[in-house]
Amino acid sequence: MDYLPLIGIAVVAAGFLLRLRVTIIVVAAGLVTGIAAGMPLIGSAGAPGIIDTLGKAFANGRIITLFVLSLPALGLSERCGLQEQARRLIRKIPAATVGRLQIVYQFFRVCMVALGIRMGSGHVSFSRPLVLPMALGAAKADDAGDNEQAEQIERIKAVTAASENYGNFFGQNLFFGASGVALIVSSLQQNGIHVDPRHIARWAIPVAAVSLVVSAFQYWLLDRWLARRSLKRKVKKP
Amino acid sequence: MIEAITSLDAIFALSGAVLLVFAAFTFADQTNTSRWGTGLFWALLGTTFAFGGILPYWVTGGLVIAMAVLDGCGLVRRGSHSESRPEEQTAAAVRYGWKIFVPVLMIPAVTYASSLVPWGQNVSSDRVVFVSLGYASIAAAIVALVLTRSRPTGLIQEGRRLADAIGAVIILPQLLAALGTLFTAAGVGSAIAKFVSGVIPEGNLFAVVLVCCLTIAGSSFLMGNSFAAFPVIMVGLAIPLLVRPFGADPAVVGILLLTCASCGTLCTPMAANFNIVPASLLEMQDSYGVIKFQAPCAAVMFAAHVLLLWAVAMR
Repeated sequence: MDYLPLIGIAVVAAGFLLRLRVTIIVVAAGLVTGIAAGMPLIGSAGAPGIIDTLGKAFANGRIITLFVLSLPALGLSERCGLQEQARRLIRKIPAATVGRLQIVYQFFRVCMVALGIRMGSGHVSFSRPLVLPMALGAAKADDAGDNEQAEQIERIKAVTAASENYGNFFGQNLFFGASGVALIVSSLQQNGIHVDPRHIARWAIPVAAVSLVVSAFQYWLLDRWLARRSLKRKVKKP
Repeated sequence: MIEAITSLDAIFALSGAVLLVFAAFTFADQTNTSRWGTGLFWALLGTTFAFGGILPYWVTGGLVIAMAVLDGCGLVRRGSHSESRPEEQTAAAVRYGWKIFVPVLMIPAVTYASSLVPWGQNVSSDRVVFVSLGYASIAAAIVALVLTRSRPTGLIQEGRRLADAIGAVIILPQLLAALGTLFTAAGVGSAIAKFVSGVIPEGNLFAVVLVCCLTIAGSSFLMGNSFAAFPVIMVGLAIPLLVRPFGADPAVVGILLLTCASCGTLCTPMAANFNIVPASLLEMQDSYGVIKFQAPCAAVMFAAHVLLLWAVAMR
């Protein structure tokens, strides 16, 4: 049957609805999809099996998790005052707000990926060690244990992760050597259509520009929300 | 010798060694209420890293299932790590000053710089960046150690503090990549394209544009990335329904559909390395907090894609 492979997606949806652990959901979905496609559990020379396909793809995906090697250096730097120093840096700039910092970072990230500069996960290299402490410093949100602030800190963390994703996703195809551009070229080529990768990259400009405007607006809204919150706090405890 | 050192396998072996050391420290961590389960998890992950290239794939697959079961039974937990107090942070900031940025900024800078120098033939150009990242991380660790005059165990303790903060979701990106492979092998993408091409109203340009955008964003929402679904949807839907009848520029249709897929990626837990792992890396309370923040922006960007693609196809 043609639609049988979609059963894996149903398993994923059911797992999320039941709030099971995502790791278990994914393994279950993989097993069900494989069984539905008539794959054996462990493959032989000719036919790949479910468990060995899982293992092979997991082994090939190790590059995604290579960032564990950078955790010791980041952790030790944090222990030795990295976050405090980042906070001090941002407080030297009176005009800095959480939103403005995020749009500056996003623009920087777009420029980097547009030049084809890749360096592993931006969340690990920049967001956690640098952008987050700067954002918290700009919001003057660092006295922990305050319930009202917990909500604001949570939102600041979310925007810090988002600015990295926005910049990366909507900027990366500005580089004509990007893997996404290559995917378009090869998909079209297989159907006898030949296109110039630079032509594709040029047409990534409108989307990148729109994404900067849309996210700048979202950051501006966040700044207003944060300002209202801190105003209320000042009124509450004079 | 040089070839072995500059290979990706060397970097995987080093990562595996770091993870196995994390595991050893976890076994000895009395503050962790599940130190055996948690330690075993890191040991299994370290084993797949160090020996993933040598072990038969079905063994690696078995280890992966074991890790998922450990997490599913709630046996992977955080120990309590001493967080530095504000006054300690201030004292450290005064003591080390700007120098503390050096190891952190070194990692991206050295990664980029060393990916510019010519490497051996055995490292393909798209993998150079990962080998560079590995050695840059090690160099940064050494610099941090020398700069702060800490004990080497400090590196392990602090690295383990961050790894613990991420927890078992650390394997999700690889696990989801594996699921994507199984989905592709089972023909999920073609099933979606076949279903959609059966219901699409041909001839109405706006409807075709909208359905193409919904399908690619929906596929990447379900599968966590656009790369598996893109060729199927481009070839199965966009070329026959948009490019051929309306004469739209295939290159422009391609790039707009590809970034339209990112709107789906921004909203899905299946894109764990972008949405779920960062939430735990930034120690958020809500593991869906990043997705919730991104969803409104993704919706506006989706609408912008539909309008742009419509305008382009009308020319």
